[in-house]
Amino acid sequence: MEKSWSFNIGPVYFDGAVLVMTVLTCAIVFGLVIWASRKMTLRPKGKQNVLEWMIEFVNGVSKDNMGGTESRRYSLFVFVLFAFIFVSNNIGLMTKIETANSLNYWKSPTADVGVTLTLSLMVALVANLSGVKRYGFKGYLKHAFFSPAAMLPMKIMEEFVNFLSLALRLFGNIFAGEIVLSLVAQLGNSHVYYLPVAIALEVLWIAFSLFIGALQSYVFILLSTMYINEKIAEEE
Amino acid sequence: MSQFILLEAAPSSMFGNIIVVSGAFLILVILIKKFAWGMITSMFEERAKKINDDIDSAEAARKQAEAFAEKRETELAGSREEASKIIMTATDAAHANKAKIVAEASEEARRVKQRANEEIEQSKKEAISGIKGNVADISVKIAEKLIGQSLDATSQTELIDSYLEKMGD
Repeated sequence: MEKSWSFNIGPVYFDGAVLVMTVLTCAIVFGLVIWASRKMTLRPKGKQNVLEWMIEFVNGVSKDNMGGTESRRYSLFVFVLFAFIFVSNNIGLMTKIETANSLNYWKSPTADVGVTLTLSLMVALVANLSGVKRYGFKGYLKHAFFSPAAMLPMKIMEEFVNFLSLALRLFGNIFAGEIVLSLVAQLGNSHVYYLPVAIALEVLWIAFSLFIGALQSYVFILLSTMYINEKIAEEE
Repeated sequence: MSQFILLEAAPSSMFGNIIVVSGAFLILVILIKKFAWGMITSMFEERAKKINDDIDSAEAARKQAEAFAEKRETELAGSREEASKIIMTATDAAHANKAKIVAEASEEARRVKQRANEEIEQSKKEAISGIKGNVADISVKIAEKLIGQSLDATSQTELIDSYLEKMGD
């Protein structure tokens, strides 16, 4: 099983690979966004087109789920979520750095269940706090859990199911992708005859993983906006 | 064996990961909001406004063009009417001129004819009066010859004139 180098500050243990890769991912997202948003013109061209297309795409997803007025309020959050997950999913496909004592230095942050749980937790927090902000605490409880009251157990369970499934779906997809990636790499390492086969398989699998990564980041924001909308939507 | 490995495994870094990821994510959100988001959204708004304005101005231009076309149409109809009016007045004027010229010509002709008649009359009178004088003189001379004496020409002239008057009637 893979292990990462880790360190601790007092009782809190940190996963070094996750820390480095998360910071790297944030830096890449920030750098790309800043780079693409310099010298913006009314008539978009080049990099600005790409950035705008991405934002329009994310806005389109949240608009479909929340409607035009609500989606504008969450558009920054959803966009950063999408960009972060998209870059995270793909960054682990670039390479693999593993030391002799099988310490892993390079991986997708989203291939770690803690990271995806954190993202999912943030979505759940945003959704529930938005509900509280909109309806007040009592109104939020009534709106989210007691309509109708008989559904209360189901609603409570749904909260946890949503939270966990959102995190585990992303984690599972990306983690499985990386596992297969390292298995194919091991195949290449096992004998020199297998190296061409391994490289060909690696190319195919990376292509598929790129697709999966893009798809999963889309699915993540799609479900996130749905969960947020559930908490803030007007009752019919 | 597996239990031994589990024990050897590093303590869970779940809590640390939560701190790292949520911290990094929040910082990313804040940084993007501070350095890029305003520009991007203002660009979207500006573009939306521009498109809106363009559509409005295109609409205005279309209306103006329509107004111009209508104006030109009416002007064309007006000028056509004017042209036919000009032609009509020209025809009328020509008719009037024709009548006037004909009238003048006939008047002229009448006058010329009258003058000629007058002249003829005048010549006739002169000729007749000349003939009258000559006839009177000749008659007196004939009578002188016949009678052999000199007649008082003036007294006899009256007599002859009266004869001639009678003859003329």
